This record gives sequence, structure tokens and C-alpha cells, in this order.
Amino acid sequence: MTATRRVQRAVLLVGAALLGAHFSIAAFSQTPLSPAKVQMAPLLDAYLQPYFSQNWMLFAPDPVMVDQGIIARGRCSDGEVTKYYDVTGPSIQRVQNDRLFPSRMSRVVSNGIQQYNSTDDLLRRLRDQKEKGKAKKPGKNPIPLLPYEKRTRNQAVNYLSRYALTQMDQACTGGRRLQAVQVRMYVHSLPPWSQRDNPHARDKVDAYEFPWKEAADLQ
Amino acid sequence: MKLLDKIDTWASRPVAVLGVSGTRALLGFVGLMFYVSQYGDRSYLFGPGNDTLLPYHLFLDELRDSGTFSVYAWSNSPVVFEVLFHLGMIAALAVTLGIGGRPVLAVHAIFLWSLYQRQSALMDGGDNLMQLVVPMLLLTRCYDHFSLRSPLGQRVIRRIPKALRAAGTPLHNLGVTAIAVQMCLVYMVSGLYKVQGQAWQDGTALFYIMRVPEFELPGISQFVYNNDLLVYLGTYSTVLFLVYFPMGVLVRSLRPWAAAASIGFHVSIGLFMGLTGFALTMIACDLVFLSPELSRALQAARKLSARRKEKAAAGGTGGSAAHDREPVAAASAD
Repeated sequence: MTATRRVQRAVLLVGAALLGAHFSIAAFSQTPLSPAKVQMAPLLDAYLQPYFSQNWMLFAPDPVMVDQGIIARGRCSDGEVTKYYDVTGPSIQRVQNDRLFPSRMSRVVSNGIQQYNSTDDLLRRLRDQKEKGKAKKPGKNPIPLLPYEKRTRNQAVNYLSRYALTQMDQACTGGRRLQAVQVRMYVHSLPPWSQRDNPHARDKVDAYEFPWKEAADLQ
Repeated sequence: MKLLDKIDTWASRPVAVLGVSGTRALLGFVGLMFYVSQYGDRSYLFGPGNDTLLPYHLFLDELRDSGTFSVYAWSNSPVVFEVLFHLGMIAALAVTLGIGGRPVLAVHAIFLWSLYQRQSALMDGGDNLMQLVVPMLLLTRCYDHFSLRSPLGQRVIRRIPKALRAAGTPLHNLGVTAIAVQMCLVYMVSGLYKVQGQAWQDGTALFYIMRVPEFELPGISQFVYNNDLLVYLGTYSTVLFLVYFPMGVLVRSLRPWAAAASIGFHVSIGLFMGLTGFALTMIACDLVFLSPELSRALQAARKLSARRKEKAAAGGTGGSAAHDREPVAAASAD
């Protein structure tokens, strides 16, 4: 056996073993929540984060079904509060007008909203169970937001507010400055499948108001 | 011994060289287009100023939390930013054209990772796949085709000791296998989670997705989502295709069909949903399954152009065009 062959065999076998281990861990990280996964979470994170992190729940299990976005109003330096501006609209327009590598600006809002709603799989399951139990035993306390969830939400609101602030810099005219901004998130549900042929079916809009954010604190 | 023979074949015969070269070129192009499509907004999205989407000091905090690096953290000077951004763009162009070989591919990977980290809110599944696959490409002979090779690179390769150079083939095959396995993981996971979703079970998921403005092609999408049959067919075939993709790849005779289905699937995603980068990244990775077909297509194209040149030479005044013909043997069937 030549040296070349020995090297080739060794590289192939060692490499295959490493790849096997890598993909076992990567595949395990993509399985649904389980006791084993909760136990192994620190180990998985230590290996996969940040360079091998992945998430393949693409439009699954539930695809996006609603049109979410933000509108925002500002407060000028003389105290006047502006009307609401459509922050999401222009970036959606850019995507729809360009099929080949469109601008990704619309992701800023959708990812911000996603971050606002994001939580831990385990917490989500516990809250869902509580929600189901509530029907039988009303008055039970829901699980409150954990400190890290509050931090993530606050970051998301800051992020969305900063985006709104930079998109509406023309809002205050006559040499006044835009001093603060308030974002309102809307969730616009179109009629469901069962109502698709009903001409009287109405859209539903829910709105969530976020606190005012000072421009100086956002930068 | 049969097993040893198999190991030796896998260790000494490179597979899918043509396909993986296509993967490299197309991924390079997608990376380049990431720079190009955000070019006008570059300082707002990635720049170091205080009026940017993610001010520099918050970016540094984010980087510290995630425990990674980004070349855009090196300096908060706008000039340095411009230089880095344009260097990254040049690296992406070089990868697309096949200039500089794997060292340039490594540089491109570092620049692209840095850009993703600078503004992670822009990323989608395609970018996630890109950042995983590019290091795998580094193992492969992805510059054997579709590339402009320099004599300097050839000289460097000749200097490498023979025993070390021998490791190239098994590493190449491992890299190609890694890309294939990664693709199967992507498809299976996304398919199996869809199986669990109500709208996918009902066969109506497509109806809901195609109406969301961010993923809508105005004037066209409604023809699909207002047609019950198309919605059912599209939704169920998506799930079936995703879940069974690994089987389609493992059975050799089904492989080109699985890859072709995937390409068709992603062309429609790119067209209808505006996710060009994501769609082309997936298509690029599908090319590793299509090496024989690519080779046949290339040979047919070469024959066609040779015949046309011959005709032109025969019909023209001079006979000098005949020896301009490209060598047909360059596309090896692997």
C-alpha cells in the first residue's frame, strides 16, 4: 500500500466520522422540543453557536397568514404631535416592484416584529398548556414575561422605533427637530379560506401601541 | 475486500466536480447580488454612523453577546467602512468568475459573514444556508470548472507535497457529501414541520402565504390563490416533495428528477414571493446532484457551437476558424 493511499483512507474515514458527528448534532438541534433536547441544550448551543446555527422551520408549522407592519407618529421639538406615517408600506412597495434581488428593507420590520413575538419553545408550550387549562379553571395566573423576554421585546421596540425615526425625518417641518417617536404595530387578518367567496367578509385589524421613545435614547 | 475497495474508490475518485463548480459560481453570484441590491442603502444598513439602523456601539454590544467577529467592527471610520464593503464586493465578484481559487473563497466567506453580522435583521434561510455551505465548498475542487485559472495558482499547487495533495480527493468528496446532507436536512426538517401545521394539513397554506403583501406578486399571485385546485396541488406537492427529497437523492435514477423538481420549486418561489437570493442559493446547492446532466448539457452546447463555427468557416472566406474550436473533452463526465 502506498503512502498516498494510506493518507487518502485516513482522511476519508476521519472526515466521515467528524461529518457524521456534526450532522447528528445539527439534525438533533432541529427536532421538536423534547426532554432530551432540553437536557442537551447547553451542549448543543456550545457547539452550534454561532457558526453552525441553523433553523429550517421555513413557513412551518404555521405559515405567515397575516399582514403585519407598523405605523408611527412623531413629536416635534415644539411639542406638536404629527399624524401617523405608514412605515411598512414603502418598503413593501419596493419588494413588489422588483422581482430580481429586491431590496431587503421590508425585512427590517418583519424581523423586528418576529423578534418582538419570539420566545423560548419551552415557555411557549407551558403557556399554551395554561391557556388550555384556563377554560376549565378561570382566574389562574398566566406565566409572566421572563426578564430576558422583556429585554428582547424592548430591543425589538427600540429597533422598530429607530427604523421609524429614520424613515420619517421629514415629519417636522420649518426647522423643527423630530424629538420622539411612537410606533403602533398592526396585525391585519384577511378573510380566512372558508370566507374566500363571501363578498361581505371583512378584514380584521388589531393594533398594539408601543411606548414613546426619545430620539436621543435611540441613537 | 469489498468494503476496502469501496473506501478506496471514495478516497481516490472525485465526485460531482462539475456540479460543485457550478455551486461555487452561483453562490458567488448570489453573494455579489446581496452587495449590489443593498448598495444604495449600504451606509444606512451597515455603516458606522449614529443615524444608521443599528448604531456602531449597539452593533459592538450585539457582537459581544453572540461571541463572534465582524470586520465591520474594526473601525468606526466611514472611509474604512467603504473600503471594507467594496473589498467584500470584489471578493464576491472574484468567486463568481472563479478568480483566485479557494483562498479568495475563504476571504469572501469572512467578508460575507461580517456583513451578515452587521445587520442580521436582513437575513433569511438562504443566507443561513450560504454561511453553512461556503465553508464546505472550501473542501472541494470547486474551481475545476467555470473559472479563470492563473499560472501562479498552478505553481503553488505543484509545490504542495504529494502525500498532502493526495488528501485533496477525499476532502473534496467529503465536502460534496456535506453539501448534499445539508440539503437533505433543510428539506426534511422544513417538510416535517409543515406536516404538523394546520394550514399545510388542510391544503390551504399557499392561499394564506401568497396573500401576504411581503410575499405577493401583485396582479399574478391572485390567479393562483383564487384557484382552489392550484392551492391544494401547490400546498400538498410542496410538503410531499420536501419530505421525500432525501429519498429522491439517495436513489440514483431519481436524483436528477429530485433536483429538477427542486429547481422548479425554487424558481417559482423566487418569482412569486420575491425571494430571489433564497431561491438561487437552494438551486446552487442542487447543482451538486446534477453533475452528469450538467456535463451532458455542456458537451451538447460545445458541439453546437463547434458545428456553428464549422459552418461559418465553410461558408466564409477563410478556413482559419476551424482551429478555434474548443476541446470537447474538457467537460469530464463524473
